[in-house]
Amino acid sequence: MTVYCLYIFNRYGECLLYRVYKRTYAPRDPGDEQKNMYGMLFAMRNFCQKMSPAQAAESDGKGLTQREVQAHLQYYVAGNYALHYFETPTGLRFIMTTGTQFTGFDVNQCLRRIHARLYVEYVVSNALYTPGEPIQSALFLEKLDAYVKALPIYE
Amino acid sequence: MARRETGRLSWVAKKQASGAHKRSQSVRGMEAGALPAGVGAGSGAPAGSAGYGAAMAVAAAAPGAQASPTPGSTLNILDQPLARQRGEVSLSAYLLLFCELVAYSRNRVSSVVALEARLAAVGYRVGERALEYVCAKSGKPLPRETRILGILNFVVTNLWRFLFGKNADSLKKVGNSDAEFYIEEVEPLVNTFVSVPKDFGALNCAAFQGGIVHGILSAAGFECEVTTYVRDDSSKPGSAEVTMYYIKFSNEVIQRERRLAG
Amino acid sequence: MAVAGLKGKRQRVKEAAGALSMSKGGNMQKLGELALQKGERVPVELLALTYGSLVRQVIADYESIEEVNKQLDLMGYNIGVRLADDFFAKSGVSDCRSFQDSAEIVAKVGFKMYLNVQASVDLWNADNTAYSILFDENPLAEFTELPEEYAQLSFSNLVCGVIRGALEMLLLVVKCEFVRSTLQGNEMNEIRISLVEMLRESAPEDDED
Repeated sequence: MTVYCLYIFNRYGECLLYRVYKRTYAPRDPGDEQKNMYGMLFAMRNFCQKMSPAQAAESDGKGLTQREVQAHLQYYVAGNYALHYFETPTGLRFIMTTGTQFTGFDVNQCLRRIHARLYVEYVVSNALYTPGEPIQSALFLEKLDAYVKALPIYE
Repeated sequence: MARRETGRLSWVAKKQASGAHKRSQSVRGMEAGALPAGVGAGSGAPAGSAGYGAAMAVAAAAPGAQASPTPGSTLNILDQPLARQRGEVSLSAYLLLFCELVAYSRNRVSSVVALEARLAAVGYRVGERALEYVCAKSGKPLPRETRILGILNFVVTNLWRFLFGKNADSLKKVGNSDAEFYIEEVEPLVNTFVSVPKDFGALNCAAFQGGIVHGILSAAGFECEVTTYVRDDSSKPGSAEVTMYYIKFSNEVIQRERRLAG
Repeated sequence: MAVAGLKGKRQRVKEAAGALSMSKGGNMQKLGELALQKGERVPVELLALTYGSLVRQVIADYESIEEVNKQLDLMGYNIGVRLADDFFAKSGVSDCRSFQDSAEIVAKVGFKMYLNVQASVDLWNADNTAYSILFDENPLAEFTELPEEYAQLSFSNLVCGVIRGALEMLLLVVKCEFVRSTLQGNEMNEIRISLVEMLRESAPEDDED
């Protein structure tokens, strides 16, 4: 059971971070993989929303009253890996691929923590980071790696 | 420090202060931006006053009772009370403002040195005003520092605590020189979450704090130059980069210091 | 008790609704206070002095007051874009799903947790596409007085930009401006926020060869 990769996308599909931990197979074109991942998750998110059994009674489309009842993808499991997905209200997507044995451990909560304690502090509050650019802050990467490697699911 | 004494002012004190206010308006008429309540009157205070406390008393005591404005007129800033208690805002708000200050400055310069100079210039204006404010808000009257060590200690303790919530880490002299000192700080407030990318070279955003030091020392009558450096202590176990504010006092200040030392 | 019994049903419903909205507002208020207390804080004077120095710098860099106001709004917008993430991470608010929700969230939670200011929402227009945020104290202008030649300067225009930027991160495009300001002689500060449009996330481009 381990953590394979971590991705961070913004709402324009730009990959801000691609961090590999224990991936044995490296794709030939990471850029291509990221595009596919974003596109797939975008479609899946909309699909999850549409299939939700509870919808808001009426959406006036003008953003004045409540938009749809939120029904976000949490994770999916496929054979030998699981993909966990967390989306912030500001459109940031945090994606982590892990092994399949994670029952009892809330990986989404980890992603939330990464957003709240690491991303917001070391990226957003970094005077020398321009929002929208790939993340290169050494401090952030150091703290992130330390956090991920300390997770109980990481071996 | 004389607290605002409502209702117990002499007519003379009121007249003095309103005169001082008018002086301050003509001197500073062109300036917009932050003006602590006491600055104008402070500059008009009689020379040789015992300390900042006395200077502040003239300004603060005067428009004592909170005058309600006549309808249609702006409430005069000197009529407003000095903040009743220590107000606070969130650190995030401050750091986000600082981020934008850096980004704004970055767009207008083309080198790291120029960027640091800009940040220092903004900090200078903060420091100039911070001195008066710290003295006014201090619970007891603070003596006016006339010696170098005195003012440096004031900066490193009172001022740093007031602005950043902690003392600076250390104050050191450079070799045997009387004119050169440096203040060390391991984690400047503004650098809390900053990580400098490689293409920025040796940029240290704490140049802003260096500017504050410069502003304070200048306002206190100690002309100097302040430069901000980073010393990489990663070879020593347990320590990281240390920010150093290197202060070099001007010749006039050194000569004055020698005279005062007798 | 006899008096209470005389109140019509309509009155009781109105009061209950008032109590509900007050309690919702009250909850928002608490969230704001908690978020402020949980995080680290700096003295308001540091913020005020830094902001004032920044405004001075912008005035020195630009020629006309109009330009300065625009620049402050733009700088606020950049801050707002960052602030949105910080807000959701620290406030405990899980989402802001509509323009109407945004009002309470910005005024009660946002103003409190960032600026330690008590603000209220009022003056909704007829079709609920615009509201005003009202507040007394403005920490940015703590030490400021506007001389006559800068009477047109919207000193705290940065705040309008911040609100605009943060709401745009939630796909709500708004127009935001200071209508009244204590610096310009009014008894309180009023920021008017009106909805321009609501954006939708667009699907990524399909660029298969």
